[in-house]
Amino acid sequence: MTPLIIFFLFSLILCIILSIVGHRLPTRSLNLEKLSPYECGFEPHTSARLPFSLRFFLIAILFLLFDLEIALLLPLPSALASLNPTLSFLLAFIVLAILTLGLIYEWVQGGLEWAE
Amino acid sequence: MSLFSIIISLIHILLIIVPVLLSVAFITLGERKALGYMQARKGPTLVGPYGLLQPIADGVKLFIKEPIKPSSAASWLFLATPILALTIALILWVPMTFPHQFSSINLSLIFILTLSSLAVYTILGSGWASNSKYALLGAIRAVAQTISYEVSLGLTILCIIVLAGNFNLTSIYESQTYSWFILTCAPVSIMWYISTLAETNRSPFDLAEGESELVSGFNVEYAGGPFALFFLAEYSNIIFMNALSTILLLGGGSPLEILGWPQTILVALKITFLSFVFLWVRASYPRYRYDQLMHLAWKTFLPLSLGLLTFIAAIPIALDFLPPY
Amino acid sequence: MSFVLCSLVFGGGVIVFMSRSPYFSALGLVLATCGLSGVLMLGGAVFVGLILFLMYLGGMLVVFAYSAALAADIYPEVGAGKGLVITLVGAAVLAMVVEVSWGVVEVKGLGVQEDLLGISGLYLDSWAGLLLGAFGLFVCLFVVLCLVRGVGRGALRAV
Repeated sequence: MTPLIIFFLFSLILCIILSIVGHRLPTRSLNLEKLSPYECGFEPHTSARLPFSLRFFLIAILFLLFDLEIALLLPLPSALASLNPTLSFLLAFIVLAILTLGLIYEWVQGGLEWAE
Repeated sequence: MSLFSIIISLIHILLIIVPVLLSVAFITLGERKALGYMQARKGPTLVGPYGLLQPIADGVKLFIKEPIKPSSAASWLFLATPILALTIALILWVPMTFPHQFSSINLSLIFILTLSSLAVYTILGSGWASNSKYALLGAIRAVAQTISYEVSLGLTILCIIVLAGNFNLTSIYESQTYSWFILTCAPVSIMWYISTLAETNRSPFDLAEGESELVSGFNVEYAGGPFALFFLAEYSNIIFMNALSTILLLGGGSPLEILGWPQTILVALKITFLSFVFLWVRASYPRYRYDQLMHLAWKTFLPLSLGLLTFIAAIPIALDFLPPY
Repeated sequence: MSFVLCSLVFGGGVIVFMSRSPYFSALGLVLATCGLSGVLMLGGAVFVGLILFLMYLGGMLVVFAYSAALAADIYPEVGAGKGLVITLVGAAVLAMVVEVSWGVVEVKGLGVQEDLLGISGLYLDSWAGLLLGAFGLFVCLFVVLCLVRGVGRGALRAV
């Protein structure tokens, strides 16, 4: 495990050094126009934060559910190599079928539509 | 742990990181050359012979340019995210199979999945910390795209693991001695390759940086050195994804695996070919529309990979054999 | 090593309840989860640790941070606990360097995976737990869709 930690520390330190070089090496002359956020040459006139988007929120939640499903399925390979592979496969099939049903329901109800 | 072994592992680390950074430098040159010739022009030719020193000139230019931190940005997060991006991109190379392997992580594919899911934070953090409209919009788009395709990436990896019976890259490599996984599960391989295109935000899925509407996406406020870090991380991820596809699907150095160095060269050639296809795709296809992108991820890849996973998991049981053949 | 990880957990916790904007508390949770799954991996449960890391960091906290980034928040700030956190993380890094260079770290490599064999029992004897989990996910999918059904008809609406 120690070589791994050395690898982590080394790459972190390398990146920090690169970043420091990038910040210290160039000469800097800053002014107000340069430091204001980029917005097509206009003055930024409203807050940069956006109104809450339900679409993107729904995508995030769906991702979370299917990611959890992948976590449930990850022990499958070692289970298939164990005593009763048929039972393991049957269980995996049931899990997959339940989530496919969920996906179908989602699809039918229009949760996956982007353009309306 | 003695000083000697620390020095040995530092040298080993350098022998991994330096070639990765060099190949990142030259893939940018290769990209400009390939795109140039596909558009009937020559690409960079002036710096060095045939423009070979162009990436070095680019790097020097980026590091002596003035970095700018917008006055409204969240300061330490804005500075930390490029560092984090490149660190994650370099650490991803730890479990990769080399002739002299750096570490013997047994669950290397889960390690890779975990670290690559962390890359989302750098995009989200940089876009949010910039406190700029373009950057935030680009980050939100990029994150939605990355997480959508991560689901299908995970399911396709699971298909391959079910056939190989192990999470270890070396044993996946060895289980393809007689037949590559691109032959045994071709549809999965095609989905995997398209998902890697989307996961690394390459065109035709580069909606995060759609120039016409978002200028440059989540890194629009970055300039100079910090931008260079993001750039290095992005291209390092591209090469890494292609190396992973080579090992998972193209069997690594499969036909030559008895030989020593020709096998390594074969792996390198396969990675180069896959990276070239990335550039080729960029030259050939127009950008997707955002709803088409989501349609592809959720309505095509997800149901198909769910079905294929069931099918592929059934094959060893139906034929009455177990994965470690 | 366990000191490093525990201070990560503690520092993350401090960020969570000291920060004034949800975005930074999400970041604090990230730190805490890093530390906790590190502790699990030190104890030898590498598979469980990695899965916990993958799910919490790659799944749940991404969604949390993403929703926090979507929500309007004009002046984000870390708030009070900054100094404490910086001290803790600094101490953690120092301790890590000391432990690495003096060779105190003595753990099993990432190669051992008895826990994977144990978890595969989810597909053999303790199948009820697996099916319960899958059913729970299905119910979640159902509930989320009922909350945000369509755009205008659900309980939650975009304003």
